[in-house]
Amino acid sequence: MDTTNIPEEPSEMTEEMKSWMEKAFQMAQDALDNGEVPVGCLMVHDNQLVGQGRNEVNETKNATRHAEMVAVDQVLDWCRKNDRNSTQVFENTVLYVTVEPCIMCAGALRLLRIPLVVYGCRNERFGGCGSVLNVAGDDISDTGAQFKCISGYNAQKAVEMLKTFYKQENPNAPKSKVRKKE
Amino acid sequence: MAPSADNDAHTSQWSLTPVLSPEEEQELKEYTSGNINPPLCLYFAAPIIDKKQISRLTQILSLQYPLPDCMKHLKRVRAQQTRLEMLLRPASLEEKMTFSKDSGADCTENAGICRSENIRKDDDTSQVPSLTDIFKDGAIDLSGLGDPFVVSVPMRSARNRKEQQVWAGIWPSTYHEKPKTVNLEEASHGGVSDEEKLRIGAHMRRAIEAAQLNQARGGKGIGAVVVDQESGKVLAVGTDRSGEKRELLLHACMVVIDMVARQQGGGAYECLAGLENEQQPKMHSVTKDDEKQIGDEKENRKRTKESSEHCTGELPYLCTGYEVYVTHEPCIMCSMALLHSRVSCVYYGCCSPGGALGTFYRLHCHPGLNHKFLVFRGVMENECKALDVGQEV
Ligand SMILES: [Zn+2]
Ligand SMILES: [Zn+2]
Repeated sequence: MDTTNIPEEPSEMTEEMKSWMEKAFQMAQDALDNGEVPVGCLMVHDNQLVGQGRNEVNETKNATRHAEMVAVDQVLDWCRKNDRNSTQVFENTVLYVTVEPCIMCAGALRLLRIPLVVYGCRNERFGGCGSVLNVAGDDISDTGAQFKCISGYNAQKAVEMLKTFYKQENPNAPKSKVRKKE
Repeated sequence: MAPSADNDAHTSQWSLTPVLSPEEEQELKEYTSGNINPPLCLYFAAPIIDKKQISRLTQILSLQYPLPDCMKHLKRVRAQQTRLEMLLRPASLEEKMTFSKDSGADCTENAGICRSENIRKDDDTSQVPSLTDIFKDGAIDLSGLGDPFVVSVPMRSARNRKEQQVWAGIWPSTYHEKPKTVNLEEASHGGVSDEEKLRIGAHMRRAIEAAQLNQARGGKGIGAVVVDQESGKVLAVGTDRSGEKRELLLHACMVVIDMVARQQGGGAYECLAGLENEQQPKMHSVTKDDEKQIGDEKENRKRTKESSEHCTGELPYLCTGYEVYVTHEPCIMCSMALLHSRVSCVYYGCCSPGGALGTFYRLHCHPGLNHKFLVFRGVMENECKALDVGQEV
């Protein structure tokens, strides 16, 4: 990433959105401090936190357990506990995440008809909201609904956290080693 | 698993089609039709008048005007009927412009027009710069070379033997056969051996049976099977569960990925616990021996994964070396889930409108992604279509 070109603060961000993003960054920082992938992810419905997640790929040995997928399952649990219709809840839920969702997660968010995703930095390796593919905006048949993205909030910080993580994670990694996701 | 006799009737009714990248598709099309159009670019060349100078000239040129990496397939010298000729250097963009202006369409790039003679006529030489013009940047002793001319040469190396034959007719080139993701010869004749087709069909049959069972219980009728390529063992048989309110994202592929994780001591979805056995169709009852083997295998894999994890800190990409059979083309979420899981090969029956392995995207060969895998469609296509869903897989 070009560090000389720090993206401007996205203008569409409301104060409320900024405070949720700050919470997401706090989660990412906690993850980093605990040696985990520094991605923070929150799902907010009606100004209420209904799900949050961190990467659980290692624990579950399931490469699809990204923070977003974990957060989605929490929302499903929340719906069950509160006797709410999950389809309706997702259609009115905003996802806040420090890193652009990957292609898989973007597909999942489409299927759930999440209307808006607010994220920090781009995901150059797997990004599904424009970096590698634009799953968010493409006109794909039978695959839920397109969603809107507001990106760039504190992008530099999100990138720095990821860089720190990959540096400390595997100092002796061979050059060809495939890095972890996000 | 040995293919059963009732599969035989079906093998003639479907054909296995590789889902290729646009580049591979073009290559196969040209390969099959024999109508190969090499991309060409213009080079300066000159006849060698004094053969004693060849090695000296070759040495100097390869030092001062080395062939660019993408042109390393070209041989520096070619033998024509009456003389030897030597490649000098590529024509610059401006120089190319001059030729096309002066000589009309006589020597356009990429059109292959120059192929037959591939030497400009003598009266054209007036437009070609002299040797001293061509080498005005470097002080080179040019003795031994005759009047330069312009020649079209293939601007990339040949990808297969048929291409190589065409290349050889233009300018001599070296050719290294690369390991192919798809066997062109097989693909151009409509697929794999009968034996392989039986094997693939037998696994797909299991996915279809699971899908039928799922449909009978009110599900969407989409099934998936994971097979270890090396041992041939079926590791998971699963079906779509996204119709259930609480499992909106549990498409068939997501289900089998988690079933495999569960077998390795992981797993994320509680609702899939203990499902492995339930999903096994009765006709394929697992014997005690099988069970023991599966158990041993699990242990072995666990051990190797654990130790490799220890050494490299690398993620246990548990689907490495696994094949996935799925009745319907996976959606974008599932396709990327398979990519994250590093599967080796995906076979599917019928295409889906929003499918990401050929229909809407070709995720498995996307140039921007770090893992590529093989994809084949059309496996027992009619049986899969009969499951008649029309929903994302
Ligand atoms: Zn993701
Ligand atoms: Zn799917």
